[in-house]
Amino acid sequence: MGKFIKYEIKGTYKFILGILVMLLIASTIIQLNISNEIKNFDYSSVNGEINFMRFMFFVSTLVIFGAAITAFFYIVGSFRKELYEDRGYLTFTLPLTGNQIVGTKLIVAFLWYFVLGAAVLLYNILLAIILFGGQWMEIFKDIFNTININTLSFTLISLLSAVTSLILIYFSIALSKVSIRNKKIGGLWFILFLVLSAIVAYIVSKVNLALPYYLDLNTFKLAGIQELSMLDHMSFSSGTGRSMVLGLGQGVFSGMYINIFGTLTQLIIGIATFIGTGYLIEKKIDL
Amino acid sequence: MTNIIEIKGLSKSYLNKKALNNLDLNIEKGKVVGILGPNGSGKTTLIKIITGILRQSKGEILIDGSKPGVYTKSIVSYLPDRNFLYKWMTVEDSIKFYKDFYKDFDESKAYELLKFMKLDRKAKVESLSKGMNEKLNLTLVLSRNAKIYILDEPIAGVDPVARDQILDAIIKNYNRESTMIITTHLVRDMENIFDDVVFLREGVVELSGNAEELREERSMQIDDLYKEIFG
Repeated sequence: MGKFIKYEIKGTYKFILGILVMLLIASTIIQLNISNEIKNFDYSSVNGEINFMRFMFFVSTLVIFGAAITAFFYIVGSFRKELYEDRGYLTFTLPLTGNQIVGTKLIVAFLWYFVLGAAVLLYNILLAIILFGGQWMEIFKDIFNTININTLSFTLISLLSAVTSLILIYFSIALSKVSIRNKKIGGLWFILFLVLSAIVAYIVSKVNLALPYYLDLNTFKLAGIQELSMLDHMSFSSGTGRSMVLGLGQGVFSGMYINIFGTLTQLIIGIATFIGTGYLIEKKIDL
Repeated sequence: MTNIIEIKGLSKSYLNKKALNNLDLNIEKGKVVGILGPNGSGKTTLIKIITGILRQSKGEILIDGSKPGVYTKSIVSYLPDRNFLYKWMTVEDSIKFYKDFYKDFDESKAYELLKFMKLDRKAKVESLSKGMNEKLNLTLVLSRNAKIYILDEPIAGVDPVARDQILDAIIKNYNRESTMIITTHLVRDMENIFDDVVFLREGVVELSGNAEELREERSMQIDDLYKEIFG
Protein backbone atom coordinates (compact mmCIF):
# COMPACT_ATOMS: atom_id res chain seq x y z
CA MET A 1 0.00 0.00 0.00
CA GLY A 2 2.93 2.31 0.77
CA LYS A 3 4.08 1.91 -2.81
CA PHE A 4 0.65 2.77 -4.15
CA ILE A 5 0.62 5.90 -1.98
CA LYS A 6 4.01 6.83 -3.45
CA TYR A 7 2.70 6.57 -7.02
CA GLU A 8 -0.52 8.36 -6.17
CA ILE A 9 1.57 11.26 -4.84
CA LYS A 10 3.83 11.14 -7.90
CA GLY A 11 0.84 11.32 -10.21
CA THR A 12 -0.82 14.27 -8.47
CA TYR A 13 1.92 16.46 -7.02
CA LYS A 14 2.37 18.71 -10.07
CA PHE A 15 -1.26 19.78 -10.04
CA ILE A 16 -1.23 20.34 -6.27
CA LEU A 17 1.97 22.40 -6.57
CA GLY A 18 0.21 24.54 -9.18
CA ILE A 19 -2.68 25.09 -6.76
CA LEU A 20 -0.19 25.95 -4.01
CA VAL A 21 1.53 28.56 -6.17
CA MET A 22 -1.86 30.14 -6.91
CA LEU A 23 -2.73 30.16 -3.22
CA LEU A 24 0.57 31.77 -2.26
CA ILE A 25 0.26 34.45 -4.93
CA ALA A 26 -3.29 35.21 -3.82
CA SER A 27 -2.24 35.37 -0.14
CA THR A 28 0.58 37.74 -1.02
CA ILE A 29 -1.79 40.06 -2.86
CA ILE A 30 -4.23 40.04 0.05
CA GLN A 31 -1.57 40.82 2.62
CA LEU A 32 0.07 43.51 0.49
CA ASN A 33 -3.34 45.03 0.07
CA ILE A 34 -4.01 45.08 3.81
CA SER A 35 -0.60 46.58 4.47
CA ASN A 36 -1.24 49.25 1.84
CA GLU A 37 -4.63 50.08 3.30
CA ILE A 38 -3.04 50.60 6.68
CA LYS A 39 -0.38 52.87 5.24
CA ASN A 40 -2.86 54.93 3.22
CA PHE A 41 -5.38 55.25 5.96
CA ASP A 42 -6.36 58.75 4.89
CA TYR A 43 -9.47 57.85 2.93
CA SER A 44 -10.11 61.43 1.91
CA SER A 45 -7.50 60.95 -0.77
CA VAL A 46 -8.74 57.78 -2.32
CA ASN A 47 -6.76 57.18 -5.44
CA GLY A 48 -6.73 54.77 -8.33
CA GLU A 49 -3.98 52.68 -6.90
CA ILE A 50 -5.98 51.86 -3.79
CA ASN A 51 -9.01 50.96 -5.86
CA PHE A 52 -6.88 48.65 -7.96
CA MET A 53 -5.50 47.01 -4.83
CA ARG A 54 -8.99 46.56 -3.44
CA PHE A 55 -10.01 44.95 -6.68
CA MET A 56 -7.01 42.60 -6.45
CA PHE A 57 -7.99 41.79 -2.85
CA PHE A 58 -11.40 40.71 -4.06
CA VAL A 59 -9.93 38.69 -6.95
CA SER A 60 -7.42 37.00 -4.64
CA THR A 61 -10.14 35.96 -2.22
CA LEU A 62 -11.97 34.38 -5.14
CA VAL A 63 -8.76 32.65 -6.24
CA ILE A 64 -8.27 31.09 -2.80
CA PHE A 65 -11.85 29.91 -2.74
CA GLY A 66 -11.56 28.64 -6.30
CA ALA A 67 -8.28 26.86 -5.62
CA ALA A 68 -9.74 25.02 -2.64
CA ILE A 69 -12.70 23.87 -4.74
CA THR A 70 -10.44 22.92 -7.68
CA ALA A 71 -8.23 20.84 -5.38
CA PHE A 72 -11.33 19.16 -3.99
CA PHE A 73 -12.71 18.24 -7.42
CA TYR A 74 -9.28 17.12 -8.58
CA ILE A 75 -9.04 14.74 -5.63
CA VAL A 76 -12.57 13.43 -6.19
CA GLY A 77 -11.83 13.16 -9.93
CA SER A 78 -8.75 11.06 -9.29
CA PHE A 79 -10.94 8.34 -7.78
CA ARG A 80 -13.56 8.66 -10.49
CA LYS A 81 -10.93 8.31 -13.22
CA GLU A 82 -9.95 4.89 -11.88
CA LEU A 83 -13.48 3.65 -12.51
CA TYR A 84 -14.20 5.37 -15.79
CA GLU A 85 -10.89 5.67 -17.64
CA ASP A 86 -8.41 3.16 -19.06
CA ARG A 87 -6.03 3.63 -16.11
CA GLY A 88 -8.44 1.45 -14.12
CA TYR A 89 -7.14 -1.51 -16.13
CA LEU A 90 -3.80 -0.98 -14.42
CA THR A 91 -5.03 -0.04 -10.94
CA PHE A 92 -7.58 -2.82 -10.58
CA THR A 93 -5.28 -5.57 -11.86
CA LEU A 94 -2.63 -4.73 -9.25
CA PRO A 95 -2.45 -7.27 -6.42
CA LEU A 96 -4.14 -4.87 -3.99
CA THR A 97 -7.37 -5.18 -2.04
CA GLY A 98 -10.22 -2.75 -2.56
CA ASN A 99 -9.63 -1.31 0.92
CA GLN A 100 -5.98 -0.63 0.10
CA ILE A 101 -6.97 1.28 -3.03
CA VAL A 102 -9.66 3.38 -1.28
CA GLY A 103 -7.37 3.86 1.73
CA THR A 104 -4.61 5.18 -0.49
CA LYS A 105 -6.92 7.66 -2.19
CA LEU A 106 -8.15 8.86 1.18
CA ILE A 107 -4.70 9.20 2.73
CA VAL A 108 -3.29 11.11 -0.25
CA ALA A 109 -6.34 13.40 -0.35
CA PHE A 110 -5.86 14.37 3.29
CA LEU A 111 -2.13 14.61 2.91
CA TRP A 112 -2.59 17.19 0.15
CA TYR A 113 -5.13 19.17 2.15
CA PHE A 114 -2.76 19.14 5.10
CA VAL A 115 0.20 20.22 2.95
CA LEU A 116 -1.81 23.00 1.28
CA GLY A 117 -3.21 24.22 4.60
CA ALA A 118 0.10 24.12 6.46
CA ALA A 119 2.05 25.74 3.61
CA VAL A 120 -0.46 28.58 3.20
CA LEU A 121 -0.61 29.14 6.97
CA LEU A 122 3.16 29.23 7.45
CA TYR A 123 3.67 31.43 4.39
CA ASN A 124 1.09 33.90 5.63
CA ILE A 125 2.64 34.06 9.09
CA LEU A 126 6.08 34.73 7.62
CA LEU A 127 4.71 37.31 5.23
CA ALA A 128 2.83 39.02 8.04
CA ILE A 129 6.03 39.25 10.06
CA ILE A 130 7.84 40.80 7.09
CA LEU A 131 5.04 43.24 6.27
CA PHE A 132 3.80 44.17 9.72
CA GLY A 133 6.79 43.45 11.89
CA GLY A 134 6.51 41.64 15.18
CA GLN A 135 8.35 38.77 16.74
CA TRP A 136 7.75 35.45 15.08
CA MET A 137 8.21 33.70 18.41
CA GLU A 138 5.38 35.77 19.85
CA ILE A 139 3.09 34.91 16.97
CA PHE A 140 3.79 31.21 17.28
CA LYS A 141 3.28 31.47 21.04
CA ASP A 142 -0.09 33.07 20.45
CA ILE A 143 -1.02 30.28 18.07
CA PHE A 144 0.07 27.61 20.54
CA ASN A 145 -1.89 29.35 23.28
CA THR A 146 -5.10 28.92 21.34
CA ILE A 147 -4.53 25.15 21.26
CA ASN A 148 -6.50 23.62 24.07
CA ILE A 149 -8.81 20.70 24.60
CA ASN A 150 -11.71 22.61 23.02
CA THR A 151 -9.99 23.59 19.79
CA LEU A 152 -8.37 20.18 19.50
CA SER A 153 -11.69 18.42 19.92
CA PHE A 154 -13.32 20.78 17.49
CA THR A 155 -10.60 19.99 14.95
CA LEU A 156 -11.00 16.27 15.55
CA ILE A 157 -14.78 16.36 15.14
CA SER A 158 -14.45 18.48 11.97
CA LEU A 159 -11.85 16.07 10.62
CA LEU A 160 -14.10 13.10 11.33
CA SER A 161 -16.92 14.83 9.51
CA ALA A 162 -14.63 15.67 6.54
CA VAL A 163 -13.30 12.09 6.33
CA THR A 164 -16.81 10.66 6.49
CA SER A 165 -17.94 13.01 3.71
CA LEU A 166 -15.02 12.08 1.46
CA ILE A 167 -15.61 8.35 2.02
CA LEU A 168 -19.28 8.92 1.27
CA ILE A 169 -18.26 10.59 -2.02
CA TYR A 170 -16.05 7.60 -2.94
CA PHE A 171 -18.85 5.25 -1.97
CA SER A 172 -21.34 7.18 -4.14
CA ILE A 173 -18.96 7.11 -7.12
CA ALA A 174 -18.37 3.36 -6.75
CA LEU A 175 -22.08 2.68 -6.26
CA SER A 176 -23.09 4.71 -9.31
CA LYS A 177 -20.53 2.83 -11.43
CA VAL A 178 -21.69 -0.58 -10.20
CA SER A 179 -25.42 0.09 -10.40
CA ILE A 180 -25.49 1.64 -13.86
CA ARG A 181 -23.12 -0.60 -15.72
CA ASN A 182 -20.66 0.94 -18.10
CA LYS A 183 -22.75 4.05 -18.58
CA LYS A 184 -21.15 7.31 -17.71
CA ILE A 185 -23.92 9.36 -16.19
CA GLY A 186 -22.02 12.41 -15.00
CA GLY A 187 -24.00 13.66 -12.04
CA LEU A 188 -25.44 10.43 -10.68
CA TRP A 189 -22.76 10.05 -8.03
CA PHE A 190 -23.46 13.56 -6.83
CA ILE A 191 -27.17 12.91 -6.44
CA LEU A 192 -26.36 9.66 -4.61
CA PHE A 193 -23.95 11.58 -2.39
CA LEU A 194 -26.57 14.19 -1.50
CA VAL A 195 -29.15 11.53 -0.68
CA LEU A 196 -26.70 9.46 1.39
CA SER A 197 -25.41 12.56 3.21
CA ALA A 198 -28.94 13.52 4.12
CA ILE A 199 -29.62 10.01 5.42
CA VAL A 200 -26.40 10.01 7.47
CA ALA A 201 -27.13 13.47 8.91
CA TYR A 202 -30.67 12.34 9.79
CA ILE A 203 -29.44 9.16 11.54
CA VAL A 204 -26.73 11.02 13.48
CA SER A 205 -29.12 13.74 14.60
CA LYS A 206 -31.72 11.13 15.67
CA VAL A 207 -29.06 9.34 17.72
CA ASN A 208 -27.96 12.64 19.28
CA LEU A 209 -31.54 13.38 20.30
CA ALA A 210 -32.31 9.86 21.50
CA LEU A 211 -29.11 9.53 23.53
CA PRO A 212 -28.23 13.03 24.69
CA TYR A 213 -25.13 12.14 26.64
CA TYR A 214 -22.37 14.65 26.35
CA LEU A 215 -18.72 14.50 27.20
CA ASP A 216 -17.50 17.57 29.06
CA LEU A 217 -14.19 18.16 27.38
CA ASN A 218 -12.68 20.07 30.26
CA THR A 219 -13.37 17.48 32.92
CA PHE A 220 -13.88 14.39 30.70
CA LYS A 221 -17.05 13.63 32.62
CA LEU A 222 -20.08 12.22 30.96
CA ALA A 223 -23.34 13.99 31.57
CA GLY A 224 -26.91 14.07 30.34
CA ILE A 225 -27.99 17.28 28.68
CA GLN A 226 -30.39 18.35 31.46
CA GLU A 227 -27.75 17.75 34.03
CA LEU A 228 -25.29 19.94 32.14
CA SER A 229 -27.82 22.71 31.66
CA MET A 230 -28.86 22.72 35.30
CA LEU A 231 -25.35 22.70 36.64
CA ASP A 232 -23.89 25.31 34.40
CA HIS A 233 -26.97 27.32 33.51
CA MET A 234 -25.99 26.79 29.95
CA SER A 235 -27.79 27.67 26.86
CA PHE A 236 -26.79 25.64 23.84
CA SER A 237 -25.70 27.64 20.89
CA SER A 238 -26.85 25.03 18.44
CA GLY A 239 -29.61 22.48 18.25
CA THR A 240 -29.40 19.42 20.43
CA GLY A 241 -29.41 17.26 17.31
CA ARG A 242 -25.79 18.22 16.67
CA SER A 243 -22.80 16.06 17.59
CA MET A 244 -21.04 18.97 19.21
CA VAL A 245 -22.47 21.87 21.15
CA LEU A 246 -21.03 25.02 22.60
CA GLY A 247 -21.80 25.78 26.18
CA LEU A 248 -22.57 29.44 26.73
CA GLY A 249 -23.11 29.86 30.44
CA GLN A 250 -24.58 33.34 31.02
CA GLY A 251 -23.43 34.42 27.63
CA VAL A 252 -19.84 33.39 28.28
CA PHE A 253 -18.23 30.54 26.40
CA SER A 254 -17.91 27.72 28.90
CA GLY A 255 -16.61 24.83 26.82
CA MET A 256 -17.54 22.36 24.16
CA TYR A 257 -19.54 19.24 24.62
CA ILE A 258 -19.39 16.24 22.32
CA ASN A 259 -22.33 13.90 21.99
CA ILE A 260 -20.80 10.47 22.56
CA PHE A 261 -23.29 8.34 20.66
CA GLY A 262 -23.74 10.69 17.74
CA THR A 263 -20.00 10.89 17.19
CA LEU A 264 -19.70 7.13 17.57
CA THR A 265 -22.48 6.63 15.02
CA GLN A 266 -20.69 8.89 12.57
CA LEU A 267 -17.47 6.94 13.10
CA ILE A 268 -19.23 3.62 12.51
CA ILE A 269 -20.93 4.94 9.36
CA GLY A 270 -17.53 6.18 8.12
CA ILE A 271 -15.91 2.79 8.68
CA ALA A 272 -18.88 0.94 7.14
CA THR A 273 -18.90 3.07 3.97
CA PHE A 274 -15.12 2.68 3.69
CA ILE A 275 -15.41 -1.11 3.82
CA GLY A 276 -18.42 -0.90 1.49
CA THR A 277 -16.44 1.09 -1.09
CA GLY A 278 -13.55 -1.39 -0.85
CA TYR A 279 -15.99 -4.26 -1.33
CA LEU A 280 -17.66 -2.63 -4.33
CA ILE A 281 -14.43 -1.97 -6.18
CA GLU A 282 -12.97 -5.36 -5.37
CA LYS A 283 -15.94 -7.64 -5.80
CA LYS A 284 -18.47 -5.82 -7.95
CA ILE A 285 -16.30 -3.88 -10.34
CA ASP A 286 -17.30 -3.91 -14.00
CA LEU A 287 -14.72 -2.18 -16.15
CA MET B 1 -1.64 -32.19 -17.55
CA THR B 2 -3.08 -29.99 -14.80
CA ASN B 3 -5.51 -27.24 -15.51
CA ILE B 4 -4.34 -23.78 -14.53
CA ILE B 5 -7.73 -22.26 -15.38
CA GLU B 6 -11.06 -24.04 -14.87
CA ILE B 7 -14.25 -22.42 -16.05
CA LYS B 8 -17.66 -23.98 -15.45
CA GLY B 9 -21.04 -22.69 -16.67
CA LEU B 10 -19.77 -19.12 -16.97
CA SER B 11 -22.35 -16.54 -18.06
CA LYS B 12 -22.20 -12.80 -18.30
CA SER B 13 -25.22 -10.85 -19.33
CA TYR B 14 -25.66 -7.16 -19.84
CA LEU B 15 -29.06 -5.49 -19.92
CA ASN B 16 -30.09 -6.71 -23.35
CA LYS B 17 -27.37 -9.12 -24.37
CA LYS B 18 -25.54 -12.21 -23.25
CA ALA B 19 -21.80 -11.79 -23.68
CA LEU B 20 -20.97 -15.26 -22.32
CA ASN B 21 -23.49 -18.08 -22.29
CA ASN B 22 -22.89 -21.02 -19.96
CA LEU B 23 -19.30 -21.39 -21.08
CA ASP B 24 -17.18 -24.37 -20.01
CA LEU B 25 -13.44 -24.24 -20.62
CA ASN B 26 -10.30 -25.70 -19.10
CA ILE B 27 -6.87 -24.32 -19.92
CA GLU B 28 -3.85 -26.53 -19.32
CA LYS B 29 -0.65 -25.39 -17.69
CA GLY B 30 2.23 -24.68 -20.06
CA LYS B 31 0.14 -24.10 -23.19
CA VAL B 32 -0.22 -21.18 -25.58
CA VAL B 33 -3.94 -20.90 -26.18
CA GLY B 34 -5.51 -18.78 -28.89
CA ILE B 35 -9.01 -17.56 -28.18
CA LEU B 36 -10.42 -16.76 -31.57
CA GLY B 37 -13.60 -15.11 -32.64
CA PRO B 38 -14.98 -12.03 -34.35
CA ASN B 39 -15.75 -8.79 -32.52
CA GLY B 40 -18.51 -9.27 -29.99
CA SER B 41 -17.92 -13.01 -29.58
CA GLY B 42 -17.12 -12.63 -25.87
CA LYS B 43 -13.30 -12.84 -26.00
CA THR B 44 -12.63 -9.65 -24.06
CA THR B 45 -15.45 -10.34 -21.59
CA LEU B 46 -13.92 -13.75 -20.80
CA ILE B 47 -10.50 -12.21 -20.32
CA LYS B 48 -11.79 -9.43 -18.11
CA ILE B 49 -13.44 -12.01 -15.85
CA ILE B 50 -10.20 -14.01 -15.64
CA THR B 51 -8.23 -10.87 -14.75
CA GLY B 52 -10.73 -9.87 -12.07
CA ILE B 53 -11.97 -6.58 -13.50
CA LEU B 54 -15.40 -7.90 -14.41
CA ARG B 55 -17.73 -10.20 -12.50
CA GLN B 56 -19.66 -13.06 -14.01
CA SER B 57 -23.43 -13.19 -13.70
CA LYS B 58 -23.34 -16.96 -13.19
CA GLY B 59 -20.89 -19.82 -13.09
CA GLU B 60 -17.54 -20.54 -11.55
CA ILE B 61 -13.97 -19.71 -12.43
CA LEU B 62 -10.81 -20.94 -10.72
CA ILE B 63 -7.33 -19.69 -11.54
CA ASP B 64 -4.56 -21.82 -10.05
CA GLY B 65 -7.25 -23.06 -7.66
CA SER B 66 -8.41 -19.60 -6.53
CA LYS B 67 -11.27 -17.30 -7.44
CA PRO B 68 -10.18 -14.05 -9.12
CA GLY B 69 -8.75 -11.78 -6.40
CA VAL B 70 -5.51 -10.43 -4.99
CA TYR B 71 -3.67 -13.76 -5.35
CA THR B 72 -4.71 -14.38 -8.94
CA LYS B 73 -3.79 -10.80 -9.85
CA SER B 74 -0.29 -11.46 -8.55
CA ILE B 75 0.18 -14.44 -10.90
CA VAL B 76 -1.57 -13.09 -14.00
CA SER B 77 0.29 -10.75 -16.34
CA TYR B 78 -2.33 -8.96 -18.37
CA LEU B 79 -2.04 -6.92 -21.55
CA PRO B 80 -5.34 -5.07 -22.09
CA ASP B 81 -6.41 -3.87 -25.51
CA ARG B 82 -5.99 -0.23 -24.47
CA ASN B 83 -3.46 2.27 -23.11
CA PHE B 84 -3.72 1.45 -19.47
CA LEU B 85 -0.57 3.12 -18.13
CA TYR B 86 -0.93 6.31 -16.09
CA LYS B 87 -0.58 9.35 -18.33
CA TRP B 88 2.01 11.11 -16.17
CA MET B 89 4.48 8.24 -16.49
CA THR B 90 7.64 8.02 -18.54
CA VAL B 91 8.76 4.67 -19.94
CA GLU B 92 11.18 4.36 -17.02
CA ASP B 93 8.48 5.19 -14.46
CA SER B 94 6.33 2.40 -15.82
CA ILE B 95 9.17 -0.10 -15.38
CA LYS B 96 9.76 1.02 -11.79
CA PHE B 97 6.03 0.78 -11.17
CA TYR B 98 5.91 -2.84 -12.36
CA LYS B 99 9.01 -3.66 -10.34
CA ASP B 100 7.38 -2.21 -7.22
CA PHE B 101 4.13 -4.11 -7.55
CA TYR B 102 5.06 -7.47 -9.03
CA LYS B 103 7.56 -9.67 -7.26
CA ASP B 104 8.00 -11.70 -10.44
CA PHE B 105 9.11 -8.67 -12.48
CA ASP B 106 12.55 -8.99 -14.08
CA GLU B 107 13.96 -5.48 -14.49
CA SER B 108 16.97 -6.45 -16.59
CA LYS B 109 14.72 -8.35 -18.96
CA ALA B 110 12.55 -5.26 -19.25
CA TYR B 111 15.52 -3.07 -20.27
CA GLU B 112 16.65 -5.72 -22.75
CA LEU B 113 13.19 -5.78 -24.28
CA LEU B 114 13.11 -1.97 -24.40
CA LYS B 115 16.29 -2.06 -26.43
CA PHE B 116 14.88 -4.73 -28.71
CA MET B 117 11.72 -2.67 -29.20
CA LYS B 118 13.85 0.48 -29.73
CA LEU B 119 12.01 2.40 -27.04
CA ASP B 120 13.47 5.48 -25.37
CA ARG B 121 13.30 5.07 -21.60
CA LYS B 122 12.93 8.83 -21.05
CA ALA B 123 9.92 9.12 -23.39
CA LYS B 124 6.58 10.12 -21.91
CA VAL B 125 3.92 7.41 -22.14
CA GLU B 126 1.43 9.98 -23.43
CA SER B 127 3.66 10.94 -26.36
CA LEU B 128 4.06 7.39 -27.73
CA SER B 129 2.37 6.30 -30.96
CA LYS B 130 -0.07 3.40 -30.90
CA GLY B 131 2.56 0.93 -32.06
CA MET B 132 5.15 2.19 -29.56
CA ASN B 133 2.59 2.05 -26.79
CA GLU B 134 1.73 -1.52 -27.64
CA LYS B 135 5.43 -2.39 -27.57
CA LEU B 136 5.92 -0.78 -24.17
CA ASN B 137 2.86 -2.49 -22.73
CA LEU B 138 4.08 -5.82 -24.05
CA THR B 139 7.57 -5.19 -22.66
CA LEU B 140 6.11 -4.71 -19.18
CA VAL B 141 3.80 -7.70 -19.41
CA LEU B 142 6.44 -10.09 -20.78
CA SER B 143 9.09 -8.97 -18.30
CA ARG B 144 7.16 -10.63 -15.53
CA ASN B 145 7.86 -14.29 -14.80
CA ALA B 146 4.15 -14.86 -14.33
CA LYS B 147 2.29 -18.14 -14.18
CA ILE B 148 -0.26 -16.89 -16.67
CA TYR B 149 0.06 -14.30 -19.44
CA ILE B 150 -3.08 -12.88 -20.97
CA LEU B 151 -2.68 -10.85 -24.13
CA ASP B 152 -5.81 -9.20 -25.47
CA GLU B 153 -5.42 -8.41 -29.17
CA PRO B 154 -1.64 -7.80 -28.95
CA ILE B 155 -1.14 -6.96 -32.62
CA ALA B 156 -4.39 -5.21 -33.50
CA GLY B 157 -3.89 -1.84 -35.16
CA VAL B 158 -0.09 -1.87 -35.41
CA ASP B 159 1.94 -1.72 -38.61
CA PRO B 160 3.46 -4.93 -40.10
CA VAL B 161 7.01 -4.15 -38.90
CA ALA B 162 5.88 -3.57 -35.32
CA ARG B 163 3.68 -6.65 -35.63
CA ASP B 164 6.68 -8.85 -36.45
CA GLN B 165 8.66 -7.35 -33.61
CA ILE B 166 5.82 -7.98 -31.16
CA LEU B 167 5.40 -11.57 -32.33
CA ASP B 168 9.16 -12.13 -32.04
CA ALA B 169 9.13 -10.79 -28.50
CA ILE B 170 6.23 -13.04 -27.53
CA ILE B 171 7.92 -16.16 -28.93
CA LYS B 172 11.35 -15.37 -27.45
CA ASN B 173 10.13 -14.44 -24.01
CA TYR B 174 7.61 -17.15 -23.39
CA ASN B 175 8.69 -20.01 -21.14
CA ARG B 176 7.17 -23.47 -21.02
CA GLU B 177 6.42 -23.25 -17.31
CA SER B 178 3.83 -20.57 -17.97
CA THR B 179 0.51 -20.48 -19.72
CA MET B 180 -0.30 -17.90 -22.34
CA ILE B 181 -3.76 -16.90 -23.49
CA ILE B 182 -3.97 -14.72 -26.58
CA THR B 183 -7.13 -13.34 -28.12
CA THR B 184 -7.07 -12.24 -31.70
CA HIS B 185 -9.04 -12.00 -34.87
CA LEU B 186 -5.81 -11.73 -36.88
CA VAL B 187 -5.45 -15.50 -36.98
CA ARG B 188 -3.08 -15.84 -39.92
CA ASP B 189 -0.34 -13.80 -38.20
CA MET B 190 -0.53 -15.67 -34.94
CA GLU B 191 -1.62 -19.21 -35.63
CA ASN B 192 1.88 -20.66 -35.59
CA ILE B 193 2.41 -19.86 -31.95
CA PHE B 194 -0.76 -21.52 -30.66
CA ASP B 195 -0.71 -24.98 -29.06
CA ASP B 196 -4.46 -24.99 -28.57
CA VAL B 197 -7.23 -22.90 -30.05
CA VAL B 198 -10.71 -22.03 -28.83
CA PHE B 199 -13.28 -20.65 -31.27
CA LEU B 200 -15.82 -18.43 -29.55
CA ARG B 201 -19.13 -17.43 -31.05
CA GLU B 202 -21.75 -15.39 -29.18
CA GLY B 203 -20.33 -16.37 -25.83
CA VAL B 204 -20.24 -20.10 -26.52
CA VAL B 205 -17.29 -22.37 -27.39
CA GLU B 206 -17.97 -23.36 -30.99
CA LEU B 207 -14.88 -25.54 -31.35
CA SER B 208 -11.70 -26.14 -29.39
CA GLY B 209 -8.71 -28.41 -29.57
CA ASN B 210 -5.04 -28.86 -30.31
CA ALA B 211 -4.05 -26.60 -33.21
CA GLU B 212 -1.88 -29.21 -34.94
CA GLU B 213 -4.50 -31.93 -34.64
CA LEU B 214 -7.18 -29.62 -35.99
CA ARG B 215 -4.99 -28.76 -38.98
CA GLU B 216 -4.47 -32.45 -39.74
CA GLU B 217 -8.06 -33.44 -39.10
CA ARG B 218 -9.53 -30.71 -41.27
CA SER B 219 -6.64 -30.48 -43.75
CA MET B 220 -6.57 -26.73 -43.48
CA GLN B 221 -4.83 -23.94 -41.63
CA ILE B 222 -6.42 -22.51 -38.50
CA ASP B 223 -6.94 -19.26 -40.42
CA ASP B 224 -8.99 -21.11 -43.04
CA LEU B 225 -10.89 -22.95 -40.34
CA TYR B 226 -11.65 -19.58 -38.75
CA LYS B 227 -13.04 -18.33 -42.05
CA GLU B 228 -15.10 -21.49 -42.46
CA ILE B 229 -16.61 -21.16 -39.01
CA PHE B 230 -17.22 -17.43 -38.97
CA GLY B 231 -17.32 -16.67 -42.69
